[in-house]
Amino acid sequence: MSLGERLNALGRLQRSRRFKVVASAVVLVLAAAAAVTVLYFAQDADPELRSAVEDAAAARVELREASEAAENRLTEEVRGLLDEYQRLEARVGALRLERLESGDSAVTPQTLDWLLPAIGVGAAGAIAAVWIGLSLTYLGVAFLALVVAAPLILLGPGTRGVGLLVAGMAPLVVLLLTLLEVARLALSPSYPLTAIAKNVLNEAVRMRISLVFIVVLLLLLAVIPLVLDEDQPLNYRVSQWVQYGGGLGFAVLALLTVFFSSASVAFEQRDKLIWQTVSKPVAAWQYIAGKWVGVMTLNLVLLSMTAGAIFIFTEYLRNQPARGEIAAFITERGYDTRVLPSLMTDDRRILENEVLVARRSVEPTMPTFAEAMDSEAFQEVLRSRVEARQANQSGLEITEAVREEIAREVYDEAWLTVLRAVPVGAGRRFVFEGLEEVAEGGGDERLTMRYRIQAGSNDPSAIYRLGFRINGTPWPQPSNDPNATAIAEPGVQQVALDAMQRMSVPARLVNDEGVLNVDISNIPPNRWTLVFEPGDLEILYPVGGYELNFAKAVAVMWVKLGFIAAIAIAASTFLSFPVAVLMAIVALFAAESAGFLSSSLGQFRALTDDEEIRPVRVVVRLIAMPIAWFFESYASTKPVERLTTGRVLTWGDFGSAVSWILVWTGVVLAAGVAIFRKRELATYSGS
Amino acid sequence: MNTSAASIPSDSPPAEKGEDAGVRSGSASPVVLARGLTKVFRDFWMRPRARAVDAVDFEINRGEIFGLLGPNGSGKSTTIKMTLGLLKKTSGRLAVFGKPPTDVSIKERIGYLPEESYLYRFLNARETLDYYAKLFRLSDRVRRKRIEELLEMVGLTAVQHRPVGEYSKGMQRRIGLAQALINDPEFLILDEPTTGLDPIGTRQVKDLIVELGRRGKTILLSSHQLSDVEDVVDRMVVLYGGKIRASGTCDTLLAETSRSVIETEALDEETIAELTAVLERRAKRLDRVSPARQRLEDLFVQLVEQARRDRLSNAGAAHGGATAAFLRREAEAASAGGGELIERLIGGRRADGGEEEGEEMPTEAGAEAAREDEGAAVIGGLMGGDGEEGEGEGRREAGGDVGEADAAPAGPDADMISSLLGGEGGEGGEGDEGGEGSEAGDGDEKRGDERR
Repeated sequence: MSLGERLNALGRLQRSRRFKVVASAVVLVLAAAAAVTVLYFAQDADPELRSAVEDAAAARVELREASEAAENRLTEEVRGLLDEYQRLEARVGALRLERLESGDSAVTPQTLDWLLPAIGVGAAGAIAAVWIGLSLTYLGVAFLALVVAAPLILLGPGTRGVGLLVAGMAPLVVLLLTLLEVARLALSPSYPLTAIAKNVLNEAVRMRISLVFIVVLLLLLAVIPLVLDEDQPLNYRVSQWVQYGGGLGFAVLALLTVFFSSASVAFEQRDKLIWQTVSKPVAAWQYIAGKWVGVMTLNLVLLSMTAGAIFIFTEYLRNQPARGEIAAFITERGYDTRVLPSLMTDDRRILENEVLVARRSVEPTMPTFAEAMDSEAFQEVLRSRVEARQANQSGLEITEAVREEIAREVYDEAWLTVLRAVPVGAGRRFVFEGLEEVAEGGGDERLTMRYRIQAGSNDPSAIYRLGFRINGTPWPQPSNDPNATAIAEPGVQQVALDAMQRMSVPARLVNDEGVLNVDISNIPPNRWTLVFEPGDLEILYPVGGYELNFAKAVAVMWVKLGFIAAIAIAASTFLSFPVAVLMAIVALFAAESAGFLSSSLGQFRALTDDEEIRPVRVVVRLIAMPIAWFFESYASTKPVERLTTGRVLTWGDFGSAVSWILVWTGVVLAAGVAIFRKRELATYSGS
Repeated sequence: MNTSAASIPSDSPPAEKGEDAGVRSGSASPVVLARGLTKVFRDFWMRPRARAVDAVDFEINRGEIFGLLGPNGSGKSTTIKMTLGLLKKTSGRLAVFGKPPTDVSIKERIGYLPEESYLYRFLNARETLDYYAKLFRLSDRVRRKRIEELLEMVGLTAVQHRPVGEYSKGMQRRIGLAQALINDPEFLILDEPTTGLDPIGTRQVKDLIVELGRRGKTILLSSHQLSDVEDVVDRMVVLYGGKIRASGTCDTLLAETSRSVIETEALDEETIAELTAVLERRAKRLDRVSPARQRLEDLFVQLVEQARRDRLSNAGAAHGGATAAFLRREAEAASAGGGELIERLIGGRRADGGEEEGEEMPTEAGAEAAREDEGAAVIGGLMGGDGEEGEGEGRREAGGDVGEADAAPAGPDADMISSLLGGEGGEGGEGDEGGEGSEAGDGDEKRGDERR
């Protein structure tokens, strides 16, 4: 019997009912034995250790309450409770160590609080693995990983990275196999659509064209953590991990979707496999939908695996020491910042408040076109522009329509830019509205103001002095926080050009109407007028947790992959494999760039200043505008970018994006069905 | 099974064809009806490139085995593909179960084995059948049962977990046949079903086809193996250049009325000389006397059966087992009532209380015994010793529903044969006249047994 046949036989064994029953019984017996053992040792827990653990828990609760009462400020009372808590924790640790060294039981009733449930969960998971039919597979993967990875890790630093890579891939493989099996079970019903979908899934894991991408994805997810620079701040490493893991993962899955979707339909026609399917009672829509559901199921499995890997490793990184910490959440001075968030280091604060969070962004309110038209300054500029146009084009009649068109040009090209500029020696007020929920929360909640200034040629060596007053209060102010950056001059910041800056702003500065007035001044001897481009000045505040945001982002990615799959499948109904792939890749590229295309088209005029028509540009606009419109819903939501910048993907954004993408997906699939129904499948024009 | 009585020239009016097409008395509308069916392939610019099927008229009636013959490029595969909806007709009319071929609902009742085995290489045999069974929405229990039976029937049980991509061509044909039967179809389309099979497999497929035909299945068989077609079909059409060149039953198409063939026991030289003298007196010529030869296929099957009995090993697919139970289900139901009589008449040996027909695919030993019985009956009839009764008995045991038919074959040579046998044929000859119609009607039944 060859190795493959033996593995197949083992696979059939682990799926047999008899094996499942026996294995479940074994797991239950082992779990019961473990629980009894733990309970037995717990009975021997000595009163001193038990008392010490209880005292430490009580001190922790008291410390947290005092910290909240002091609005997270480090008052004398809080400092005293913190010292007491640390002393009690140290005592518990010492007692446990003493018991272990003397061979006595270190298990306490408090330990049982988590140990017994852990045994239960472990047993339940093992039984689930048995009944899914993958128990031996898991053991095999774990054994292989141990055998290969352990020696590599232990051999030395030269092979340690490879060993960690192998070790990291093992749980990913286990997760992948589990999700695949669950997906197969879900597609078990005896119905054409599910049968075709399940067949697609089998094809994906058994055919080279898709296996290559799956292996690349696994490798990527295992390699990226190894290339993160440990000298970088923790928040930066987490952002990088989410960006690369999510972005590259999505790119690999998108390419997999294009190639595999096209192959699944095109090759069946080329190889005439489709004859035996359509000679069965399978409607055209069932065939196309089955293919799409199969690809979507595969994407769901792989995306879940990717998301799981990203999430788990993010949590792992989160529990690593940040800059200025000796251990996760423990500052160099020994403060536990989970209990006292106000003592967080900058690195930890950015990570917790600006990366692993869901924040809403508010940009400064700009006057609308109508409001601008009411402005005298605007009318002044408009008059001079109209005069200039008349001088250039003699005989031009300035009708209301022409005047409005010129006004729009002035508004789009110049006015908004002017309102975002701060001349040297002057100041400008930027009004941030819609902060009512922040005003209601109040307290010491932190907002973040992100800004980037451009001036002159953006000399990288130049340092500009900016003055800030927020609702009349100079900001930032010096603070008692020993970990905070020292403030030399209240209300003044010295910043580099073309570099993103951030400033923490307390919520109490927002007025009762939910408005934040930020006065920014360009302090001499700065040389140039500074400008805030659109998107370069915003207020961010937390509105939710990272976890839900992450789930929504993954869901949007999945829906986007569904759109790409629909294009590839529809193209393959009438095109050969290479042509269908080409078409789908072009569509993918167009979809990903549609945002850039839309914004560029606003500036891409087909008429010269002298109103002459530029034919090439007319043609380009005619092609580009429908593309930008068609893919707008796809491009408008960038889930990975939201995650890496800690921005919320609101339910409105989520619903809108998903709805529109699904609508267009349906349109594309319907077109594919219509084409497929017209096809004469027994004539094939490809090679 | 009733069959048509005469060949039908392709330019005959449709009405005559319809009358002569041998529609089973009391049968429903034909399974496939083609009138003026034409298919013209066009290029990208819609210019006509090839007229693959040209104004073809034919019908396939329920319960018959219909042969589609022709050389390469004659339009056979095109016709089949149009029947399945894989191609669209250019003009004419084509109906399957009274509906257009593209109607999804009729596919429930059709099984299709294409010319080549187009199977998913990454699936094993069980998964392949499971996939196709699900396309028919078969319940879990029915699906599992049928898969087991079909794998047993086609001899792939031992290798069911190997990917189909690793199968030999013959094994792939077997699994292809199995998937064509998974839904217990009413109408089975077999395009070159014996391609890639060894003689044993070929024999079993032919036996299966005949058995399915007996069970009331309608079968469309297209093949280059003319001997295979000749053995099993009720009617056939021969295509060339997209047109029907001939159609009818084997008997009507192949009968050579200008010659006669007589089979006897081994003859000595003296007897041969006497026969020659008799024929010369009748101004006839004896062209050839030679020892009877069995067919190479029969010899091959005998050798393999012997090897099997001797339990010699053979890698790869086992030879098939019994016909799947769900395919035999109709026979079992029929035999519970009045069908039992018909089965006895057809099965012959079952009347003796022997094994039930359909328990297993007919073996060579069983076929040999059947032929011996038939041979004895025919010779007995020719001898005319027992008169009409004995001759009638013999013909019924040969597998024909003879009805009122008497002994000797009808036709102008009956007297001659009788005189060859020493003048006893005169009595037998008088009794021969009435049975022509029904004998011709029973010819197919006999053919199925005799040529095995």
